[in-house]
Amino acid sequence: MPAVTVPTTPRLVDDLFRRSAGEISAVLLRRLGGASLDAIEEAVQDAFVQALRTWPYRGVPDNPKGWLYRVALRRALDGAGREQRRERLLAAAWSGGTVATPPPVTLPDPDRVSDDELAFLLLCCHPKLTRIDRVVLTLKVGCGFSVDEIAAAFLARRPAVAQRLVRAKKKLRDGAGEFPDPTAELLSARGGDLREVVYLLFSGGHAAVAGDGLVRGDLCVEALRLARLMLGHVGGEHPATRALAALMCFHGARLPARIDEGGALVPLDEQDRTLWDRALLAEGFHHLERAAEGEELTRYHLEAGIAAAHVAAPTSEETDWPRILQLYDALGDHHPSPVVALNRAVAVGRVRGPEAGLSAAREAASDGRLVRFHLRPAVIGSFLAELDRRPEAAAAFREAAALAPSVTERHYLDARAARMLEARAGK
Amino acid sequence: MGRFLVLPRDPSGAWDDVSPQEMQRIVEKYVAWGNKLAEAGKLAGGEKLEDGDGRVLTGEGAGLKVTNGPFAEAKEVVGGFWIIEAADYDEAVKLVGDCPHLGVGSLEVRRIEEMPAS
Repeated sequence: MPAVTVPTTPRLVDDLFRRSAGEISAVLLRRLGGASLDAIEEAVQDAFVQALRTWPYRGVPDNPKGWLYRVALRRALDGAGREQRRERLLAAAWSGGTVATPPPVTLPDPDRVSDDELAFLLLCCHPKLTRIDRVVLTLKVGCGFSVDEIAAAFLARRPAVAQRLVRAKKKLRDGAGEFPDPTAELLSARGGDLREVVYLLFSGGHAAVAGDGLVRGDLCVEALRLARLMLGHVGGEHPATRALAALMCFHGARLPARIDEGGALVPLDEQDRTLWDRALLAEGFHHLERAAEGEELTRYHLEAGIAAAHVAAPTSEETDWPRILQLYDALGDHHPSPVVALNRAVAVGRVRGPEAGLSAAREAASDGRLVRFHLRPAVIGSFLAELDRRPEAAAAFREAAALAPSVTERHYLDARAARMLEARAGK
Repeated sequence: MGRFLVLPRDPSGAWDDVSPQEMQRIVEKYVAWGNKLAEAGKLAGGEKLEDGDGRVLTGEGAGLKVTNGPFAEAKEVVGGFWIIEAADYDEAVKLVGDCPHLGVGSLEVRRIEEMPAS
């Protein structure tokens, strides 16, 4: 019987690294004041590399997050702190005292961390930046995504994302590098921008599934976390934020049923509703209730209403399609977009039959912006299939498969195309 | 039963631009591997080596020369090591054959010669 010579290490908490990346960046930025985003990012990345190069030999430390924080802080003080150290030295020389020691290295308390993260989010949503800059910056520095992951999530090319980051950081450096206090005033002034970033994050994550599924699912989780972060702050309460959180809870709740055991995509009407996340649904309805407290009707309210109508139905047959169509009509008026029009066509089909749905879908599809959007031919194909126009449906599904952004969706659409042709050969 | 030194070599720069999420997955693989060995009582220890240059000594006496090295810029670096317990090379190779390190670099396994009891 061999003696156990080395103790085993407990497994890491899911998403520990990614979560820590955002938290540590936020805390460091607050603590080191003038340090640049670049320097902070580098210090945090260094800490992770250090963990990767140390833990395999020594095992995971008792407090992994504290370990990462300590290493990152040390790196940041070594590198980015040069400027500050010089100032400290000058100040010390001036006062004749001793050089101030670096701040004690303990992990700040959690309340403080969420304040720092919120401040960080506010910084990433600076008015000087474009919407896309804000999203990319939030993901990279605030949520610990790599350039590759961001590129994959938004179907962008890697160099384009990298360049965008450089430019965004430069803009922040030039003048606007203050680290904002997450005051109620600022939160309410920039609330709309924050919601927009969270919404873009979320829709980037929800627009397609799997293949690169991990990243996309994570985007949804991050977006919901940021919305909760806003709501958790005294100044963050806002009906539109509640609506946005509700929308994300409803979609998030359905995620476990979107992919079957074989990794294949399961459309909403075929999903096993018992797999939906009950806790998230309950949270969603709670947010939706609070969302109704305001006067203003936002797109988030309408989209949350649509999502709520879907999840409120015990079976797909019991879905209140007339209500959904009504909400889509309102959404189309409020926020006209070809994607909304295409989704509305699906509701039209359910309420008024496939012929009406098909013509609504074709009308939506005439918008040039949907040329590369895989759901355009997919929706048309579904109506053609319902109308038993199989060869046309097969062609539409094949076109959709060719445009699909993820492997999972491509497989699903290819299978639908194949079923159309099989049925035809069997005749 | 003998002890074996396991020397992992990684290509330098292997961890540039890997996302935190990805790094966590990699760490988890190593930890799972290490735990498996530890539970079987096959892992006698592991240490990380300090980054940067070590010292390379050559010559002796008046001819002693100390240079910095091996350099971090070298194509391959040894970042640390493990000591495992195994009956023979066959078992040792089996134990390290599924080490996640093989996904990025190579492993060298050397039996530690035990001093015969006098």
